[in-house]
Amino acid sequence: MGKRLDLLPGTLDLLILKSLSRIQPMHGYGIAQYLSSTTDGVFEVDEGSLYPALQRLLLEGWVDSEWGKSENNRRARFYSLTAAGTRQLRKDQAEFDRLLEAMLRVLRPA
Amino acid sequence: MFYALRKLTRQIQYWLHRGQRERELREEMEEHRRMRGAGSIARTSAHMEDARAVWIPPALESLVQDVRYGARQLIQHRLFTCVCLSGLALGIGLNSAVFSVIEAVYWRPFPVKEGDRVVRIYRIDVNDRTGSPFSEDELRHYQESGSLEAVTGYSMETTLAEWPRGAALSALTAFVAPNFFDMIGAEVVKGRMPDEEDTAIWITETAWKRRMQSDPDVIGSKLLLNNVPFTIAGVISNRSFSVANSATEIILPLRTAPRLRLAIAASHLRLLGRVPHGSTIDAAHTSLDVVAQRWFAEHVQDKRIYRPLAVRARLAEGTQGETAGPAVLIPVASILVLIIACANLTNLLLARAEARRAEMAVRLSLGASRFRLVRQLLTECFLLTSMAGVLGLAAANGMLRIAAAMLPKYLPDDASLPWVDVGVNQVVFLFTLALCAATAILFGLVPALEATRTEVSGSLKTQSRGVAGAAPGARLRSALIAIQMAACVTLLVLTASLHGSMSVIDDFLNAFNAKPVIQVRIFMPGVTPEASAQAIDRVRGQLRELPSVQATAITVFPFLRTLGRGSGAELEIEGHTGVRMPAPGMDGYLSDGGLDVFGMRLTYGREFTAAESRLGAPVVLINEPMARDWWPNESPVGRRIRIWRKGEAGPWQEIAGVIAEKTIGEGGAGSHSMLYPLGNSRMPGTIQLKVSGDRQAAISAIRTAIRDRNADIVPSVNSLETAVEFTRWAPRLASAGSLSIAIASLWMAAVGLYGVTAYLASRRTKEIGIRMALGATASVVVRMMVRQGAILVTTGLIIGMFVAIAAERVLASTLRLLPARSAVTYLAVLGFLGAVAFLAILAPSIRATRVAPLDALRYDG
Repeated sequence: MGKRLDLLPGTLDLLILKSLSRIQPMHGYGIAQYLSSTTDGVFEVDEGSLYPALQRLLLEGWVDSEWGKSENNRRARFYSLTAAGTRQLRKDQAEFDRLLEAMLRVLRPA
Repeated sequence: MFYALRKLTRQIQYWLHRGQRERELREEMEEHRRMRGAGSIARTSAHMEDARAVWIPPALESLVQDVRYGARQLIQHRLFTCVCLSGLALGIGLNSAVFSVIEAVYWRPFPVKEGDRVVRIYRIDVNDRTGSPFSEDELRHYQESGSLEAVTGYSMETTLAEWPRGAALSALTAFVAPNFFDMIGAEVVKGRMPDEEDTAIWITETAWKRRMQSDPDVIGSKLLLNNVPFTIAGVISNRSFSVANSATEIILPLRTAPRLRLAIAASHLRLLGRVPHGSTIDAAHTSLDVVAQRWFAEHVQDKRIYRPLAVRARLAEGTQGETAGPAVLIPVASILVLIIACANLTNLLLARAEARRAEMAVRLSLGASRFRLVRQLLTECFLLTSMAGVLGLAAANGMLRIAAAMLPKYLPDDASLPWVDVGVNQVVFLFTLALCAATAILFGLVPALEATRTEVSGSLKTQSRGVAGAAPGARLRSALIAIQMAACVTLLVLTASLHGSMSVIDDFLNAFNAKPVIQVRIFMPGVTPEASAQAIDRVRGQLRELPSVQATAITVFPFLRTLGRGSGAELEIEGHTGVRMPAPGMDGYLSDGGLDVFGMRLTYGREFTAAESRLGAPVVLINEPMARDWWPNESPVGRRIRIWRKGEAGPWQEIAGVIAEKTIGEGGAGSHSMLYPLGNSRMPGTIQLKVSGDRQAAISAIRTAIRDRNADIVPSVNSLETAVEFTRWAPRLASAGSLSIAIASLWMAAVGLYGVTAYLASRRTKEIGIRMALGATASVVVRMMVRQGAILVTTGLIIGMFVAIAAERVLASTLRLLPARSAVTYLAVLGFLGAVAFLAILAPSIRATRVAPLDALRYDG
């Protein structure tokens, strides 16, 4: 099991948006699974962080949700990106890239 | 912006379906955990909170909780809520209603276009009195001087109007300069505005409704004005004419005045000016002075008669003179009611603060923050005051509705009402509400502050309480009771004296037999007083011949106009050397036959002869109280008195007779009054006729008789009763107003006393329990409680009485109101309040003794 997610605020939102841009629709557990497997268990998101974040994205109108059947035939809520969410993802990712680049320049000087 | 709106919509949708949304979220999270294979359900709630906080700000949510909790508190303490609400609603309602009327009648600027820039232009004479009106040449002079943005003029005359349907009636007619309509921003209800060359006439909306029954075909109808035909070109709203006289019925361009063959004096115009934007009235005053000086230098020959000019601005026209007493007293009284209401609220809130200490301590110890407690109490205050506001608004509306229903339904021909259809003034209402809210917040917060100051563990334990006097804050409460008692006694005594002075008016009017009396007033504009007196005499002679007329007289009675105003004159009685008394303020003028018309009797002597009346002979009639006070047990007939004015003695006047009526003026029962022969009056008289048979028939017969024989005279014919009704509506309204104020104040005083004493008694439940456990009997305990409470209340009442006496003195001297006439008022008021207080102490005392000692000892309320 990896380290607990402890990143800059707002990063989780970005990660969720990005995940949804790759695979959608996805339910909450799916998103957590996706993040965990993609990062080899470094980001282990628990529901205490994930669901408030999803609610926040719903409130902002960046994701949409719909109830459906999960792969093991249980009721689950599936999330997908909205047009506004796609725009937001692009914007946030660009910002994060700049931030990351700046941090790397400090941390690994050439 | 758009984005924020969308977000808000989503939030609201969540709020509306929050039950379902939360269930869904819980399901989703539990499913998640199940799939993860984890346990720990306990933490779900915390996560749920986090998720919910995304949608609903926690502050908002807890506010809703506060409101709910507050509402529950108010419902739980029904008595407290009712008492607070009824007091506040009464206070707010009464003040809103009273000040709405006052604002409408006295404070509002002219209801004309940009009324706050409209000024009246006056001439001031050497005695600082309003001088004569202006001539048309002067109007042009001021218009051309450019000292003001605009200057216009109008003159008010009474004409005889023969309406297309119905009778010929005297009508208040305004002759206006061409720019008048534009200046006041007259609103045309029907028809068109006048143009420069106009010879048509306009009528006002009330005239249209009253005289033409709102005839839709009014435009183009013919109207005979002093027997000259005119065409009606439009109907104009009365509101705009209140600047001149809201009773105006007919409006004519100034240039048509000559066609009416009115004998108008050269100087007949009243001027209105509009101060330029950004300029002040003082500046206008200065520039007008210059213009006035120029006119004065060029045109005025007799330079002693008047000083040039002065400007007075934005004067509110109303009936100040006639209702001066009530107009000041009622607002004072209603403010007192508000003070009592606020004191009540304070008292009750303070009392409740102590009762809630335990509650606050429990909440604090369970982890509530101080802020949260304060906010909780604030919410309760807001709930209370907003409810009080709604009730108060309803009360104010109701009071205004009732007041409007009390306005006279029949008006004399040329009378107008100072106000109709006044709604609750928003500013006034909000101000009153804010005052109550401030009180509520100020004292409603005490529990929170007190509770958070006290040591939690101490408050949680049952507090030890001593006797009432030693309890903290008891002194403040005693002081509040005293203040309240003082305000209440003052209010009740004032109300009683106001009510008394009103009933004096009623007594006085009822002393006459007004039913068969018809009044005829004659208008002869621009005619000398002598000529007008002759005409009045002539008409009287003509009317005497009518078969229905039984008696005639001419009077000048100022009594229907003023309320006990001192004249400043002094009275000297022959034989009482060096004694000069303030002369009776009320004096009237009477011709021969007056006693017969009004059905008055003489105890001694005779009434004036026709010759005495005409010549203004040095004789006088006095009333019985005056005769009794100066010449007890003897006839004063033949004795002489004289009046001193400004240090100068008038001629000796012989007493001709004594009128049996208690009063012939409004000075109140037992006050002195005198009547002089008509010839002494400089004012034109009113013809008073005593008629037999149907009054309406008599009125039209009189109108016809006058018109047939006098082309130059415009009469106003009314029954005395209508005139009396009209003069009585304001006192009656004031009387009703004061009565409602009295009831309100009594209710509040009773409630306040009850609330506080009951509370104080309930605080002593434990002490009483101990006493009873130690063997005291119920009667001993009750007696002790009553004795202690009585000391508090008596102190309050005594202080209150002194304050009331002082306040009454001040008001009586500033308002020239009648002092309360007997100690009975005081005793009755004190007795009533004392009885209320006694009950308020007794009931909870008895209740306290019924509590079982064991319960009482456990008691920690």
